Amino acid sequence: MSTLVWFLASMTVSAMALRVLTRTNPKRRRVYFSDSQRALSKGATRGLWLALFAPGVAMLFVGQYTAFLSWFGALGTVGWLIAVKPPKTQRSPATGDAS
Amino acid sequence: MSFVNQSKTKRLVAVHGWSGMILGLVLYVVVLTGAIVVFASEIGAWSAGGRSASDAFSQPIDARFRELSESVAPEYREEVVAFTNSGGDIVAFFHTHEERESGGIEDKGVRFYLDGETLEIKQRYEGFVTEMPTDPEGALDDFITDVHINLYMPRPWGLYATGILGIIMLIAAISGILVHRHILKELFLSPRKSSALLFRKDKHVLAGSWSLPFAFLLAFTGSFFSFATTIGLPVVAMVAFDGDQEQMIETLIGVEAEPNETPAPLANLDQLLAASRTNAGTDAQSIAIAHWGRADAMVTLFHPAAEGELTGDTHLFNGVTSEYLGIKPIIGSQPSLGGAIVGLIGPLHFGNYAGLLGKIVWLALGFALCYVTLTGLQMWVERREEAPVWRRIGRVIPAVGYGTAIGMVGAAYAYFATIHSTFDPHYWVAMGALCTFVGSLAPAFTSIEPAAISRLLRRTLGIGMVFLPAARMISGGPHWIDAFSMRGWAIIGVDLVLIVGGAVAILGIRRIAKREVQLPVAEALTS
Repeated sequence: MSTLVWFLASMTVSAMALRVLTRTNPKRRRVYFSDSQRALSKGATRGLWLALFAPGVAMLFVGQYTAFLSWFGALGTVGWLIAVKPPKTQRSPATGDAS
Repeated sequence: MSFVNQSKTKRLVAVHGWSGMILGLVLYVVVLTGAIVVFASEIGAWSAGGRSASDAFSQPIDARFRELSESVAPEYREEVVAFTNSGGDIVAFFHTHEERESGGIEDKGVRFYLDGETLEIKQRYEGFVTEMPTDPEGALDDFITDVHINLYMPRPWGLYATGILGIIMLIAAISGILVHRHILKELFLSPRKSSALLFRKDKHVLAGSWSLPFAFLLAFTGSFFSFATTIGLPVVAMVAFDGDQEQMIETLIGVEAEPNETPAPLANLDQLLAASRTNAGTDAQSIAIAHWGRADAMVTLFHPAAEGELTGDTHLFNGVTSEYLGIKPIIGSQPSLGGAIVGLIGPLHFGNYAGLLGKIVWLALGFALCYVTLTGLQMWVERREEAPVWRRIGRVIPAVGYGTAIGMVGAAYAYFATIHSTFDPHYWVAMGALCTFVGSLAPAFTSIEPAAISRLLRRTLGIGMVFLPAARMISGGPHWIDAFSMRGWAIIGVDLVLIVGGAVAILGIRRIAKREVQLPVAEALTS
């Protein structure tokens, strides 16, 4: 049971970090002219990357190897599923209107 | 992030594309069946209508095994192996090793099939192992596993083929990293819809980037399994042991104890199973008894990984005194780093380290790699669609994509049609898969447009999946209430996945068709 608890807790933290990293990603914002989320400072972005991988380091530290492997595998799928979705609010490149 | 200059990138694109294009469709078949085969034991239990096979050795078996031992010729007590089959029954094989007239040594003895709950004898076969009928209940999961491991080809050719495919996957992954110059910058870039080709490229790059670590992992571990026994061991024997295979086997497996043929009663198996359960933290999944009734008897119990552990253990007991002899290392007779690494390759490839959780994650990764393979192939073909031959290949890609899944569904229908008949399920499962797969390829050779082929095959797959649980029940498999009462969670689980998955496949057709209409519009607006 503790494997599942560790997995769910770490996935929640990492998925939240992934979501913010996705919404504030400079290239994504530029391509989609998305201004729904402000660009983050370098320090904040580093902090988010740290939050993304910190659960993995914690699991390795306490010896939760099975939860770590599940988390690492799921990170690939969850990251893809979050990134593949286009932003909800996009501005037209010509008019600047939000859609 | 740029790794190479532009001229080298061009050459690497060719390596990446052609390596994928030449064997990409076969690689897709191996990856998809690999993703499904993660659930082989559940598929086996579902198709055979059995309960979970994991708890068959949690009950007392000693008395029944002694009866079986008394009923066979004394020479067949030289070695006994017992494990559970797909239907949750115990298979016990009392055997010796005998030279055949045609040459070569083969296992010969008596194989019993015991009811997993009552331990009653359901079947008894005697003779050489290759002459005994194969277990019909495992026909479906055996077939899918064989396609994944051997592409349904005879060994060692099948292993060579899948090993080469693993290397192709490694090449594609490495060249993919080098080709995509902005892999980190575009890690969060949703596929752009400004053109159909760019949209497809972004989809491929995004899925490929996120699944990259596992493409490496699965390709490397898969190639290891394919080549370890076919090429690796003979090479090790030649290089490290100067061709001395016996010395190599002694080093890798351990030196066998001195034979002692003095008669001695076998220790109580139930006590050994209980002691081993305490040590391992899980019920044994198989048993091996060497020299039953002799003073040098040895009992080996194989356990799956316990909660929180990545690998299972093999526990050794003296077969007469019940003395615990410790854990048998995977390589040699002493624990080693090499042994630990080899031990990890299994769970890393099969995803069988954390019960259902690990399997679900590995299934998702397998599907992601299928997606990467197909989108890569489609992109490569679309860039060359002026040539008729590439247009034709472009029509084959969705046909193989859906056709492989339809083939597996077809195999399951063939299984249920033959499992309670006089026909051989192993043969008809393969035929069912082949016929439905070839049938799925047929639209690719007509004038139907590729999008319509995809819709047709997707609908066929969805309908096939939705009605599969009904086919299982009509063929005599347990209904849900019966499955619930016998703790057949795999039966209910796989049925639900098929119904929901089939419904999603059918209902998703409209959404995909809508997107296909939108893309050319976006292309027209931006041109």
